[in-house]
Amino acid sequence: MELFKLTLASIITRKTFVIFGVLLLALPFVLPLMTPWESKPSLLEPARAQAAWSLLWMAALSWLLFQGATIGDRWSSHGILEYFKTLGVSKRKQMGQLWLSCFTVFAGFALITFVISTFTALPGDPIEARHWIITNLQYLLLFLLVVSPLLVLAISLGTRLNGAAAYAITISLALYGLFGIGQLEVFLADNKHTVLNVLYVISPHYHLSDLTSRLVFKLGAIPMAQMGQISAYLGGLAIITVGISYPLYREGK
Amino acid sequence: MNSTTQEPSISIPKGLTIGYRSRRLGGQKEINLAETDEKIHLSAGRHLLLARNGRGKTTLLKTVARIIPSLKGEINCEGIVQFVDEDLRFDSELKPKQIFSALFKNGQRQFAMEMAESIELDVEKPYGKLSKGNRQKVGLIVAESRTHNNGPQVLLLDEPFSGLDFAAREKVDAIWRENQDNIVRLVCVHPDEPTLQADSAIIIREGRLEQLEVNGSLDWMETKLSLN
Repeated sequence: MELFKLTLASIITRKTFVIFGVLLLALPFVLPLMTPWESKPSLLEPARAQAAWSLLWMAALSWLLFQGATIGDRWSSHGILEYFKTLGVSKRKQMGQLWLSCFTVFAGFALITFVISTFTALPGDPIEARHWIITNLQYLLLFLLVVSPLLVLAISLGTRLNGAAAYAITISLALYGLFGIGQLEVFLADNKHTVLNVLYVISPHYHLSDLTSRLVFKLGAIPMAQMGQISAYLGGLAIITVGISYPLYREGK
Repeated sequence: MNSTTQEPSISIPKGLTIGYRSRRLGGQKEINLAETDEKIHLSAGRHLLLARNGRGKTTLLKTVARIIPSLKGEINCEGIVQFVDEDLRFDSELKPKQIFSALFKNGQRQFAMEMAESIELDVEKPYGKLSKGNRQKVGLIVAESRTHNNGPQVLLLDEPFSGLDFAAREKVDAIWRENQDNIVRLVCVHPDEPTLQADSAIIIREGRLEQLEVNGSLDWMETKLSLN
């Protein structure tokens, strides 16, 4: 686990995570106060959950993926990965250790968000509260199913390309999966287009993991059968993404 | 490779060819850099690798470390292999002390700190602010510390002295003398660095990889002239 410890030491020393940590802790409480909440105070708590999860998405898309891309780039161009290769640390283990080092810090972010969203916005009604907790747990699971493989992809692309290009590709894919597909869906509702229809089907539907509106509008937890289907789909997508990332990973440039 | 048998060694068979394969439209092209006429066997001790620029010194080290494949034949290593590239760089924000803490535990970490003190490396200064020579010291310490109480070792060092002053070289030389059991050190050095003692030398000249028995000291002038 030396590569993990070396990378974690690098992340901690650079301290950029502190900025995101502070934002994640403070903004969910500050941002809702900037809305006209006085007219309807009951909106304050869902707005807090919305702010917390939105900030976590921002941290994932900016800090986490950028860390992965730059660490992959830095370590491969500085000879560190080749050094560990000579020590017998396989490509698979290297990828795992780099992923874990970035994810260890990010897990703290996810935990902060989960705690703020779950416990500082918990509805008073026991049935609603139960749904609220389950929805947050479901959200956390689906969120991690999307973000984790994207981090692996960012690392692998970073080892092959440069950090900026690796980050640009990964964030483009993430944004397309989260928001672009929605635009495509709107277009296809009014137009018949075979190629775009195929593109829609094979696209990564990351938006399925975004349960923010379900929390804000208190729609309750996703039924178990549906949750199973979404998890299986995103899990399959994760396997494909990691499968693509593996041959892209290079120890040296 | 990376096995932990009794004696560390590097065996380079007769007919081994090192070089590169470049992929081009319509097929692969092989660029041969050097080939062995005789079998080369390196056992525990210090072995220098000498050649002029671009003759395949780093390629040979990378081939031994299995970072790149040989074009023909296969090198066999017994022991834990480490390749420390001349260009190996750590995170510019990390201090050497943090690097050693991340990479080593207890005995090896203590060895690293003692070696740092011995060769006058400031372990509290960020890596990015160290001079070229001091950065090379970090790489050398990492390599040497890992060999400490760790079984048979094969250490491949690519021009580790190019940025070091004479005092640091002498101290490293002394550390190597103190810690020479169970370690094969194959050290790539520039032909203009006549300061090191050695058990043998591998030279690359006219596309041939040869081993010279030097019995402790090398006739540097003669070797240098023979490389031209």
